[in-house]
Amino acid sequence: MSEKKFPHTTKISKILNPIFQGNVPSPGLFPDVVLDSLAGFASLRARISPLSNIERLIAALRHKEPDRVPCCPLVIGGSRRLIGASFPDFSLKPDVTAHALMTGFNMIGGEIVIPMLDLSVEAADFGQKMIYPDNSTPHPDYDNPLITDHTGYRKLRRIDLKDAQRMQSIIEVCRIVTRQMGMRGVVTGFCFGPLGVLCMMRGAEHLFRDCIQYPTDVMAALDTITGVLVEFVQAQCDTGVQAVTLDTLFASFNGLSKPLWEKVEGPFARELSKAIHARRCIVGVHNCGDGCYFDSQIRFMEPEIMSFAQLPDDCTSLKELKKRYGDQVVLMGNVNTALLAGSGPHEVLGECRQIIEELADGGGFILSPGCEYPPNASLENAFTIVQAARLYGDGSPGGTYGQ
Amino acid sequence: MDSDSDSAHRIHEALRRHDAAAIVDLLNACNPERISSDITGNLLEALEQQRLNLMSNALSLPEFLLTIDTVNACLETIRNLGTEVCTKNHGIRVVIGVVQGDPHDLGKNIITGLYRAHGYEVHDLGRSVPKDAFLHTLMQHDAQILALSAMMSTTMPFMKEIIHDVRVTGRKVAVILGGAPLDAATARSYGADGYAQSARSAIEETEEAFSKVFG
Repeated sequence: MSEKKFPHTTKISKILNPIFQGNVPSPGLFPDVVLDSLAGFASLRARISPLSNIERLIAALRHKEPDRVPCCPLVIGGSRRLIGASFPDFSLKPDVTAHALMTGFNMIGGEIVIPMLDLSVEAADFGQKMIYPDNSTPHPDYDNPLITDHTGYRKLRRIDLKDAQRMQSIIEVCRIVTRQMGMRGVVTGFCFGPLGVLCMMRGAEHLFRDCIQYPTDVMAALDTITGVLVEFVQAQCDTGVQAVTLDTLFASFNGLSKPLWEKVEGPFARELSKAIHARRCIVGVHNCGDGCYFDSQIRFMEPEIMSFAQLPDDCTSLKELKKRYGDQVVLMGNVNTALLAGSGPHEVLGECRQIIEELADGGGFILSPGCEYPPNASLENAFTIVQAARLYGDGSPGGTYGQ
Repeated sequence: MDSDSDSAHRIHEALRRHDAAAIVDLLNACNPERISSDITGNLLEALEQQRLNLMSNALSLPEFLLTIDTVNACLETIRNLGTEVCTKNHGIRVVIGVVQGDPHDLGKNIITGLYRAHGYEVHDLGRSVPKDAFLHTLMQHDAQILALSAMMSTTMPFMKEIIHDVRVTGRKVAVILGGAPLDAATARSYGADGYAQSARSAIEETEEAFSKVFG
């Protein structure tokens, strides 16, 4: 974490206020030297006693070895089943969402909760018609895309965040979850990247063609969207979350070429990241695409955390990934979600163990699925991930790494 | 008239620029015999080269989409000129679609385009297809290949049900699955004959699945 990303001075009240309210101040509020001291102390203490969730995360974030690797089972839509809520209720009622997410945290464990709903939240508020199935994740009605041809990009109009019902839901969920989380863990907001939001209103196939054939039209729409998203991420920050995650899926082989992504979405992603850093929150980047462009995303967004599913385009192994990027960002991942949906604890334990062995050494690692935990899969494997962090994630002398 | 190597070069270049008009001009200047053999051959060879570029990540997905659009536009022109497009897959019928509840059809559309360009007869059912429609279309067209796509973990279990229904009929069908939430092990556990991780490998995976079932 570089202080250069964050505003130079911090009023002490900014740190004390969340503490008085029973919450964890964002690490971005602290000078690096203070964070390093806290992380160093936590890493030292980890040798003699278990750490709190927050101590564990601070150590990991500052690339010191905690008592064990922190984890985030990323149970989002799946948490609704713990309280018997339907998908539409989970997606549309903030109190239900918050209740589900916190029940998931309390029952399954981990150190981080991500209050997200689905990838069409922002697009729905721009006016994209949606489908809310009873037993599946909400998605746009692609038979009725908001943008039907390339001339539609420049017709997209800015919306007022206070009238944006679904984004306001997310903000409310962040507020509730942060309050209920207290000092027990970290809450990270979530925002789909502007190109992703646009994809929900145009459809991926048309958008991809348009990015090549009409890039300036596409970028005009991204500019409109980003203006609203900046307010959205800052409103999330203002609820007291410690971080906000940006999903820039199309910075991967599943999306645009690297130069095209850097031209089309990169500058807007940078704007969002700066807005989050300006609120002194941590930036996480999530990209579950194949061969995602770690280098470009780091350059444009300067994230503290990179959550990934597949190897980046410039690495051939997890070991190489750790060597190349392990000192620049905290790596978060990358348990195979197909395995979580289709296999048992034995296979999942084996996968977690292998990932921990390759990525946990020296801190800077959070164990998690490479993408959202499959919402309709048995939750047994979510518990398994948390247990795997306990079983195999002990990096202390005599611990379990590599055994 | 251009020499063979010259026209091949022009087709490769036009395809790289996604310039269907340039290829159509070339077609219009050719005699019909050359269209069916040389020009079609050059076109498909150029497509194959671009697919290999996609596989090695030298070409991006959006560029490849435009490539497929260009090839299929040219093949359409060739057919309109009354020329038969002959390929090794002539006569092999494929039913393809995205399973019920799933609206994500980008991967399916790319693969549909590829199949068509490679000479398969494709019956594209679209997205969010009710499971009975797959079996019905398979039987209606006596198709040899069923290609199913799902991009959501919530919808992929439908694939297993569809495969079960197909197997119960006793028909000889090569089933191939694709989609982000799947992997090869899951595809096998669902009873599929093949799994295409992405559009990059779909042709090889389909040919392998077909050989496995039909020898």
